[in-house]
Amino acid sequence: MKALKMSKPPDDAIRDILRFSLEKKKVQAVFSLSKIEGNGYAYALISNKELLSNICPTFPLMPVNSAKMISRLTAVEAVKSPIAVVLRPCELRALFELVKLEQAKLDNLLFISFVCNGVFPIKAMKDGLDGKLEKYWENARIGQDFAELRESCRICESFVPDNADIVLMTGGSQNNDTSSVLMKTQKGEEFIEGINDQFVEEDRELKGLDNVRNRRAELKKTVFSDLKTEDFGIQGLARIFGRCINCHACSKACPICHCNLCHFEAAESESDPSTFEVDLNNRGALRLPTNTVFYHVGRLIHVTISCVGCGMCSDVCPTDIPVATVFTKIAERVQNSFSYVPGRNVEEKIPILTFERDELEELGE
Amino acid sequence: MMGKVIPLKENLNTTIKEILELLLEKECFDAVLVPVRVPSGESFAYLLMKDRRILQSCTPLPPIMPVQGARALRDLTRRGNSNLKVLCVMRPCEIRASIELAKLRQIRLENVSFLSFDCPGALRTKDYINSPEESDNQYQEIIATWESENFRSACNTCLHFSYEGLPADLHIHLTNMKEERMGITPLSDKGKESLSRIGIECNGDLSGWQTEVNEISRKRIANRDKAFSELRDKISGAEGFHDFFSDCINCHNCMRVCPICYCRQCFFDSSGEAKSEAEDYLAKIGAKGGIRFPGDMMLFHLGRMSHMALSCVSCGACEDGCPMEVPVSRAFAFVADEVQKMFDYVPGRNEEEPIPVQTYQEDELHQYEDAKGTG
Amino acid sequence: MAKIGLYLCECGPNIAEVLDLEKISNEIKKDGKVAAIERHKLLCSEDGKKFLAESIEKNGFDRLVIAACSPKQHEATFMDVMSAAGLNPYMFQLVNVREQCAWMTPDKELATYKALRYIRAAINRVRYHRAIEQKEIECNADAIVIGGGITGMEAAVRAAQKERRVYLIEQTELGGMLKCHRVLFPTMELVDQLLKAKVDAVRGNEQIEVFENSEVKDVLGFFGNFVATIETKEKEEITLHAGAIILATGAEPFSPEQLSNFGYGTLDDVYIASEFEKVSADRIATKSGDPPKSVAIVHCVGRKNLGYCSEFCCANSMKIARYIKERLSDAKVVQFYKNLCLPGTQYDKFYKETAEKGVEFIRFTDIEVTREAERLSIKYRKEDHTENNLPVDMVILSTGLVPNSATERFAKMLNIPVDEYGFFKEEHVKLDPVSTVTEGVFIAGCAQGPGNISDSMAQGGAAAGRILSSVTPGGRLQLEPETSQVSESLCVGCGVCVNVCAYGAVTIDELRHISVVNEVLCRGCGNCAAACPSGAARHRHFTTKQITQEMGEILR
Repeated sequence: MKALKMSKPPDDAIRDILRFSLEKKKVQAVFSLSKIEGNGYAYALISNKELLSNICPTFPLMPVNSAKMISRLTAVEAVKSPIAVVLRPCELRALFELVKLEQAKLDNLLFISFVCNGVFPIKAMKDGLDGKLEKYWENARIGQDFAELRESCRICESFVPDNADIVLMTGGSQNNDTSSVLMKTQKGEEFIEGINDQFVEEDRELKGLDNVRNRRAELKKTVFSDLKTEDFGIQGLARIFGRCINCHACSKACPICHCNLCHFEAAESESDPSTFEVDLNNRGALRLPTNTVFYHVGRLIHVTISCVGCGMCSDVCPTDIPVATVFTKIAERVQNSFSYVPGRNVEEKIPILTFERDELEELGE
Repeated sequence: MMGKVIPLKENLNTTIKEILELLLEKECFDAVLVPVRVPSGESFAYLLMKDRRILQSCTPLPPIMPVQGARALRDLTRRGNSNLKVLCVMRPCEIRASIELAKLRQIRLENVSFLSFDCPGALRTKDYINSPEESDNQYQEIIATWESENFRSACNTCLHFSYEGLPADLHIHLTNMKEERMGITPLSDKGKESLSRIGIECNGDLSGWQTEVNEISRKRIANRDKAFSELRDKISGAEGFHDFFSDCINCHNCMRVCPICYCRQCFFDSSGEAKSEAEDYLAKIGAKGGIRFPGDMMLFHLGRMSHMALSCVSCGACEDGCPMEVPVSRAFAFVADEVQKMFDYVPGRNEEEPIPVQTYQEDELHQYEDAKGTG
Repeated sequence: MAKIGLYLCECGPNIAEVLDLEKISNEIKKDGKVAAIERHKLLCSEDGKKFLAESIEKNGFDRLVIAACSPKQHEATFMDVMSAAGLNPYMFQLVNVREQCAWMTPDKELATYKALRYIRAAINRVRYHRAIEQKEIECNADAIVIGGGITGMEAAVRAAQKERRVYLIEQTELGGMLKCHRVLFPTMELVDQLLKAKVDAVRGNEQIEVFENSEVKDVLGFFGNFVATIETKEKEEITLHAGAIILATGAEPFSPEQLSNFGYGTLDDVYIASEFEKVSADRIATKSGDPPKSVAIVHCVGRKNLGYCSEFCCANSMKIARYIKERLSDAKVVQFYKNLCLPGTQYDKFYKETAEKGVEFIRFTDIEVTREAERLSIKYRKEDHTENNLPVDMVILSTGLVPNSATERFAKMLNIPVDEYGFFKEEHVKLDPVSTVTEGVFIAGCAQGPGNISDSMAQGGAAAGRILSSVTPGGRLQLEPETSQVSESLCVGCGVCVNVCAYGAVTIDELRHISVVNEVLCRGCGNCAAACPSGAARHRHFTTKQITQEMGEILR
């Protein structure tokens, strides 16, 4: 496929591409991670090309899963004229899942993504990432693990974007001062057409990343087996979610959780005092607030089929519960049993939302 | 102030546990709501317990406050009052928050009693989770000295750490702990009756403990004045406010852990607020050239302040729950202080006193009107 | 997808000569949010309305924005056209580009710019309008009369008709202040017969239901649809529905205990006029048991404290004088007065006749009732500054009327203002003396100000007459369409909305622990929606979304 070699680091390359597209009116606005006033970082929707100097698409931070933001933008109606969206592979996959759940619309969106080397936990932003960035990019170049990143990123095998229109090669023996920009779709090609840079015809399959993938798979095996969920039962669940304070931050950060009013926050999940009294009599003691483990089990049932392993949940947990580890492990089992990969194909229906008479026979009569 | 001085058996927690056991045994109460260490060991959760044996494993005075007690009590009595007589072992700020929630019909206080204690403060939850044993030891020292750098910032400036103005039933005095003893005072008839039923005669004069309380109050007031005067300059104006909250990622955790925030669905999470037509977002960009997503960071904090500041008990749960360690409770405690002064209102001091936001007075706040009387 | 039609009215030259409608039209077209833009010279004219109706049908709009004059002028006009054309009239936003733009400035550019912003804001808003159904209820023609004195009874009898019930609520027994008197001026006829006749008329009327020893606990609702809670004498709480209310709660005599120079309550044989007739029903006698040989009647007691004249007491005092004279012909009766109030045709004559019967009239500037040497004595100063002393056996103090506790209570309950003295305030002192600012609530009798029986009777009848003419049986009442509603799933039952509702329209459903809006009582003020922190309470036609859409454009 067509590739474009740009003699600049990925963020600069993307800035150039977006500036070009705004100038040529190929898009009315662009969406990307950006530096904002103060010391913060946030996703931004930008129409003024002057502000492009602030964007930092591959900066290793995910303050919020951008799939949720694109859902906010397009849930009510699709955008009417083109917008270029720069986001990470897991965010794009999560967005596709949201489309299947009628929570987002893809019309007029052009997706730019990149081979993802992971992000730091959001609290790392507190101390500043300046000292760590060099090491980050170095590790990315040589394809080495970086222990300070989100665990979800360190075990993620799906770090090459599936469905973007344009993909930037980063890391994996890639020199960070040049960027290879692959046009994966015709839309992507048309987007870049006319840009004043060196074009190369490269039959660039995204090679050289198998090492990274394998290393991550190994680490995942270790992390998952350490979790010992096989021995869990209720005791295990109570242990791992024991510190839970029922804040539901994990649900609000999760791109797949999209309900307007979560069942566990609705009146239907509240109990009358008499219920508590009966429970108290039977068990001798009762934890308050209630439904701590039940909430997580409920969320496991609802979400794991589409879980993309972004790791936002662990990041926002105020008591450092390894939510993402539990969820991605269970998600793998669930998704494998349906041979389903969330976000791989927007036409592919979510298995638990379809009814097939003859399936899962292995689970017995 | 009449009460009883009780020499410590082993430590503070065991001594209080014994009293709780007696109170259950003598049927002064049907159940006790008290923190217990969680199975994995690095945190605490509230347990409502009837079985006296389970009381053995409780920690009445935990070093952290991961769940604000009012939230635990709310689950129990939101839909009606408990028929069981429950004794809640809670910090003063948790009791005060419960009183506020009672005014908002989220908690029913019939059959609910409170055992409070002089609260030296709470450590930051994440610090504790990282090193629970070390923190436990640290906390034992803290109870003796009442000094720490590792408290929540809200605790260092808290003036409501003792029994004054607290509508509790029983109070445990900890300020004068040097001789390995604690004091217990009944603050209500129920409290008095319960103590006498378990054989604790309140014939000692505990007024001496007040000197210690005053000393601590003095220090806290000095801390508070200093902190607030520094804050005033930092947080003023739209820019100051924005910069103060610039690390905020809009996760809304602060709202979720806050005991006062009682809405089933926060206005700022509602789809009307969060989802607009795409063209509206694009129109918003306008002259600025760009908008951030999510876009209501400042509005969320200002909105939350305007909804709950009158009832804010400055417990610090917000800051404890913030993944970016934004000093939320500092800002909210400061604004709460100013706003509560305007109405001469102290949250949690009296269940009968309505929150100013619940009442309508035609004739008030004239001092905030401008010369034209338009305000 | 919304299909918005924008209409630009030229309003003759008023709008067209100031606003650049061509420019506005082009800009709005560029925005791409409206389906079509139409222009007309005078949209409110017959021709204009016809044009509007036809245009709606032709274009198939589902909502309109009309840029024209003030909503006060023609909002209803256009809403009627829409209804007739099959469009819900609330799918509409009228933009005032005349009073608020064209008429505000001669600067055409500025006016056009402002109008454009306003129109854009309205277009944003109307996208989120929802159809609102207009509901009607049957207007209740019954009446509630509060107060069973002569005024209330008169009003009840006049209002009770074949298709109309009247509920007469009285705190004690029927009769009111009339029960204080034995005879009436100027006829000196006995009260008993008159009162009995009136009470019989009330009790005998099938359309009137009397509640004695009962109390009105609360009144909610509005004209045509009041809901009153009554506690009956059996301490039962019942609910009554009525379309109008008459307040005939009366007044009470001023009691001069605090005025030490009159000796009321401290000296024996000192009475106030309102108790005298009752006390002396069998015989007129002093404490010692003997009939008094001399009686002084003092007018205007407490007048300075009250600050107003109670109109009836001079004549009442003369009546008492004659009453005494008729029974004790030898008694010396002296009337001490400052000024005599004798309005109307009957009173001059009454006064002269009273004087002819031997009653002495003395004018004073200062007066005091004391006890000297075991005897009551009137110490007084005349206009010529001479000081005098008159020993008497009995003193009767004539005091005026003051508002009773019922006035304050009902004023609060029904949102009626009171005047500076505490009496109910009428809508207009000259032109509308029995109405109040609260539609459907009327006042009559001494509750509105001191007066005599004939005035009270006239007012009672007047109030009844107002009800007969304004609330007709079988009439329909349009309810407020822009009411509030509370989302059951979002409401958490905190009750803040209940506290801020001025109309008692929001209550708590204890079982579901949520608040519920009674849409019949709701007046669409929006307080609850504003007070609700989560947005569970929603004000139809003024939702957060609609307002922020409009404001988003204005504040851009």
